[in-house]
Amino acid sequence: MQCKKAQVAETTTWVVATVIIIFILVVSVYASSGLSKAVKSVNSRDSAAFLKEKNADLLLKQSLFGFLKTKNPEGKIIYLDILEKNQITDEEKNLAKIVFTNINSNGNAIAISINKIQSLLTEKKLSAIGNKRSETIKINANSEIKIIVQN
Amino acid sequence: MRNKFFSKNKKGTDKILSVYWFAILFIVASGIFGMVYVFYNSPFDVREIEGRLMINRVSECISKQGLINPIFLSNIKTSDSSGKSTCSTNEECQKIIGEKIVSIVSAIKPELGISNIDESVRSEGVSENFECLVLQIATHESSMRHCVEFQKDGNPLYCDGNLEEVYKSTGDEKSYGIMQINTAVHDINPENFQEGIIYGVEKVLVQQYEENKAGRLFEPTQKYYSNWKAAIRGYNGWGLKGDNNYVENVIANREFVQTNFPEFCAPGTKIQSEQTKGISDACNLNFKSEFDANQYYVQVDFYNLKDFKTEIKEGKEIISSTLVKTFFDGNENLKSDCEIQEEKIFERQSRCTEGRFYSVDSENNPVIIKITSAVRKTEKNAV
Repeated sequence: MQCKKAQVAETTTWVVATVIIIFILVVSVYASSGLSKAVKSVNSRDSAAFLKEKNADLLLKQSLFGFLKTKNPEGKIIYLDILEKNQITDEEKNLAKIVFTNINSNGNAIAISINKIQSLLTEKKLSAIGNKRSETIKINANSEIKIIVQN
Repeated sequence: MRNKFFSKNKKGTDKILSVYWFAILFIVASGIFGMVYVFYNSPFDVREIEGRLMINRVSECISKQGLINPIFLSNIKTSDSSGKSTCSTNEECQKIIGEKIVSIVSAIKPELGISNIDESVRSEGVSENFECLVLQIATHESSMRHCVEFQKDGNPLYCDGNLEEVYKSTGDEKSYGIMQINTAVHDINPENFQEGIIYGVEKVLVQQYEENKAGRLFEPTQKYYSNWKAAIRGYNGWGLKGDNNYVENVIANREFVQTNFPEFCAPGTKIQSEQTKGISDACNLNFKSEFDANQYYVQVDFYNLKDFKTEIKEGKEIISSTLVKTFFDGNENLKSDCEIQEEKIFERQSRCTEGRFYSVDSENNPVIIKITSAVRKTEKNAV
């Protein structure tokens, strides 16, 4: 009788162990399927290998060039105006707001920085957490303009 | 006896266990094989990054250091309806108005969603191409004038935005403007030249085509119209009050537009619609791939920043302002996948990517440029 009990206990142990092993294997196969889809979907955000700089944004850079080439309300090219004054006027800031909010999604936080003096262009503030894209153009040896966009 | 029993039982248990271990080993090996197979069997999906790279490449080609390449857009004001061109005779004014119609229609043509639209118009014998069909309708509707007078101070669009001075049909009907849109039936501001043309094309002509292309009987004359003839018939209406010979009259204007707009409507002319000058050629893009069908599509839309508007529809941000100009290249059929993708991404459809940037034209007019790219390649990326 004792021997039969021991056999039943041993069999139960192995049956349960088998079920657990099969369960783990099934979960692993399922996970590898999901993982392959996630890992193998190559996109520009996740694939630093495809872009030398992970946060590089060519369209943002193009827009910044475009903004600097635009004439301000006084008819002066913004690039030359910044070069002369070493700062950005309120009118130019307003234009930057219109330009950069229209090329980005509504929910983004956008800031422009001239010589490290940062001005927020949107109501939403930049946060320490979250992915930021930024592009910088050197105006001359001492000054630079930077645009920062956070999703 | 006892020892013998245990000894026998132990051997049996060992044998059962070794079979069991063998089975477990097999199951675990199968599981590992399955995992490796599943992981490495699914392809790398590079469509999104290919689309993004294509957008970057096209943006570099369109705008160099913030200035739009003049081969794409020299000056956005050439395409708007500010009516700066002047004319003194009716014929000159018709010419100016006709050129503006062609410019507007060719800008919206890719958005209409009808494949081989020019070919279908031509093969039916109604016109040389779609733009010329609209010219023929405008000729019949308003003699190609938007205002009461053909011009004032040389401006053929002096009335644009002023309903009092916009050309109105005689009689009780409230049809206004270049395309004579009936405001009793359609909710539109007919005083706006561009809005009237876009509405007439999109909401009347093309809608009538979609609804009646299979064929419909025009009861007053018992004539049966299909395809573009049905669309033309629908433009005038299917009721008793219209012009019974409207379709024939519009088609009869083919000669008029051929004579007056040979650059657009001469036999054999296909308007490249300012859109399809070939982005692939201009930007050195190579659309060839290992598959027979074209696997790529790229579209570039230009918008004037001054009237740029977006709106949120079902959680998606959509541009609601009017296009200034459009270019496209590649397989147009992929475009419909982009429209579906706005709702949900399907694995086996082509992947669409979108990007917007800002630039200025040669006269320093601010322009927003939207680039849409679609990459198919589902056989290698999603199967």
